[in-house]
Amino acid sequence: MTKTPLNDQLLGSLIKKNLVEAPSTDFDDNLMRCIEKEAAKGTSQTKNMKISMLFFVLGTGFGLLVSHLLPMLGETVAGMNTRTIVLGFQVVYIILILTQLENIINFFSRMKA
Amino acid sequence: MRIIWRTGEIKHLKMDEIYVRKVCAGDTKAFRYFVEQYKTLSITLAVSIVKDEFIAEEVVQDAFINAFRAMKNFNFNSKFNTWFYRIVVNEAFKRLKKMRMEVVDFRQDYDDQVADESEILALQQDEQAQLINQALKLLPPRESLVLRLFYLQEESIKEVASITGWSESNVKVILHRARKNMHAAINQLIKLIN
Repeated sequence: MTKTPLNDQLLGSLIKKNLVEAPSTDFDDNLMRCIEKEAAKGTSQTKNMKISMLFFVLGTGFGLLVSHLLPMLGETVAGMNTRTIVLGFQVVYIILILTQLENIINFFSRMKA
Repeated sequence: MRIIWRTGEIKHLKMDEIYVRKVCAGDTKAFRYFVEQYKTLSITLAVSIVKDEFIAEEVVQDAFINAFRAMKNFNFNSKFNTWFYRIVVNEAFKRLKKMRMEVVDFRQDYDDQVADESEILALQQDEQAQLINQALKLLPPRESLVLRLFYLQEESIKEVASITGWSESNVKVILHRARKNMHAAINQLIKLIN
């Protein structure tokens, strides 16, 4: 018996008819629940980021104010030289910035996005 | 016919754009449009790669969540479906790698193997569908994916290349090999049926 080779057109139409449906009947609802959760997570993340930003700016501003005002109080505060105290604060600030640099850059890039 | 198809596609693209803007504006419920529109085709594509309906469903769920997260970055330079199917394909290959699934490389001496059209047409419609599904499952992931994209979605070689991220010449080679392997796979399955 001679064979009739399966032509491209028929192969195409057979593949076209062959759609796979989702095995779960509640796929759409489950997915939409996940999407709602994701959206809520995104909102709370944005809120947290805004709060973090506010405290970062407030902390930096307060630090600058303290290092500016502290020498005006006199030569010594609580038996310590004010210059030494300011220097201590500045060193701690720089160390914190340097160690958290990667997180800070990520934070600002996420804020931008 | 072509004009009707073009009009339909333009309308579809417009709808996609409207819903992308809605979702970006914070209307989460508008995302259901994409789920309803692309769910079946995405699962079909994912099945081509992971070869299991339940895993494909998980892959598509992850792809939809990733698309939702990244929707703000969608810049309308490409069609939404091209962008989304690329996410599905990447997610499916990522899952396949994680599963470390050993996909049997289906290699036959296919040069002399041509599927017989009359034998396929003699089957019932649901049997035909099952046969094609099984044959596609026998093919390596890349081959069944390219076949499905090319025929199911009627995508051009260029579109298939942009969805998969492979070069156009690579897609052509895979498509050629896939057609030949498909014939061999169908033949083998028909022998099992008879």
